[in-house]
Amino acid sequence: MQAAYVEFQLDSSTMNTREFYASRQGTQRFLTKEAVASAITYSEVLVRNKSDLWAPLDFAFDCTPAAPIAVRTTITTYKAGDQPNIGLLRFGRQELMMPGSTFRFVAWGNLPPLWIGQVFLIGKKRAAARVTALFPAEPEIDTRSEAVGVMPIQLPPLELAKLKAYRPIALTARYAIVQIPLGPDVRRVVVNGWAVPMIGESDA
Amino acid sequence: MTQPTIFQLPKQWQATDLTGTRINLMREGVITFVGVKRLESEALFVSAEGGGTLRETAKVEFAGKERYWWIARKVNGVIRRVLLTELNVPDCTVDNPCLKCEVCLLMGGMRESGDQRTIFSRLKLQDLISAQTYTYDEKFRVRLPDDPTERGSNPTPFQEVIVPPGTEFPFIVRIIKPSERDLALFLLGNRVADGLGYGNYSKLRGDATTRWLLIVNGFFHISTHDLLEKADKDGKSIEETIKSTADSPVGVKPDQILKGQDVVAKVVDKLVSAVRA
Repeated sequence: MQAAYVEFQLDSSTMNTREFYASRQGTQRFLTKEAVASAITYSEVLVRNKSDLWAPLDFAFDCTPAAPIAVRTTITTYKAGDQPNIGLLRFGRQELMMPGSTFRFVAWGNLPPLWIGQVFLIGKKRAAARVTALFPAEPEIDTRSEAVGVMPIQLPPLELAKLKAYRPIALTARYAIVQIPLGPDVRRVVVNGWAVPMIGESDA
Repeated sequence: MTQPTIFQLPKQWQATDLTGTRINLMREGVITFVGVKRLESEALFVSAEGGGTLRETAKVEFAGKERYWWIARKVNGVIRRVLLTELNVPDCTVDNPCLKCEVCLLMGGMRESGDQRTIFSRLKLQDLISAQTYTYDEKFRVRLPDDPTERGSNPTPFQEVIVPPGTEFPFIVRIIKPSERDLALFLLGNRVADGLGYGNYSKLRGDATTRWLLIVNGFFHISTHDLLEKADKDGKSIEETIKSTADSPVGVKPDQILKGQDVVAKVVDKLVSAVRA
């Protein structure tokens, strides 16, 4: 199986909306696997309806969400438009992941070309990011390989019931990001020392 | 030099040309503009709530040191207003984007009621991060009352940490699925916005100039971080550093790059004047 461990750094600020309440928009410290896959395949939808947000995306590979290595955030004041009562965030505070923040992800399957120095666009407003480390590999799925760390994985929330144990990192209506302990019955691939538990469809 | 194919672009997109189908940015085309934005007067880019009467421009630790941080949306917003005014677009405002006009088709928008449609912005500006080091220099200032003779009216003291004039920012912009009209609109909007000024109190300050150095017909893999780091390491100006990236470009072939300040300026002038005409 073709796989790669990738680290990247933001060249521009972005966010992955967490809460949006009382004119405050917070950000998660990770980017979803759809964000990662869209970024490295340079794919995008130009016009979409709200229902499209729930449509599953289909790629020739699978990947983990982008997990933070060193993410710095700041709360910025926000003012847009002229009429305060129109629209979503017109005035308030917005938390941003700052330029220089770094992330890691693992992707496996039929991967697109990846290289160090590659620039892609990711996250809200599609911030530019550049690949700073890349470790391609051809790992086998097994239940024995040891790892220095376990990558978080992203699942539909209903899949959580099938897991024996997990540590929740983020739960939204559309997805859950969890870390799964590497027990002897957990199938995994290990890339550059990082284990990715193979759960659900990607296990096939 | 081989004539770049930059002008072999569609003239202009209509709303029906931008469909909901998932596209590949590389196949649909990208134009990358690279230049240097220079502040011609002081500016204040307030991004955070200050304490008391202090207003401080944003900063970021990036490429080895603290630098002034000019968030892209502060440029984007001015350009959008400029274009709506210059083109005199009816029934479209920043509060209620119509999602039909050429400004919305380029810069995107979201309708939050009804069918809740979203148009993806094809204009991607990166945050501007200064070549120069951030310096904390607190200016003590006083705002005078409108009528100083009025009883009880007092001057209001306040402090500002501004970005000094002459500060330079590498400016990287990408236009996805570009038409010739998209390029022209962006360049016009940017030029007028530079004259109007950015940031706090732009009536009096925040005006800038943009020197376009490269126009690349493709997705140029160029990074602000690498540019700033290399400029510091080599002891060269940010302009020289940007120009040197055209010698061994990543992601595009050399003949896809339009370079040379005079050549680029002529192309920019031609595109801008086409909109004005």
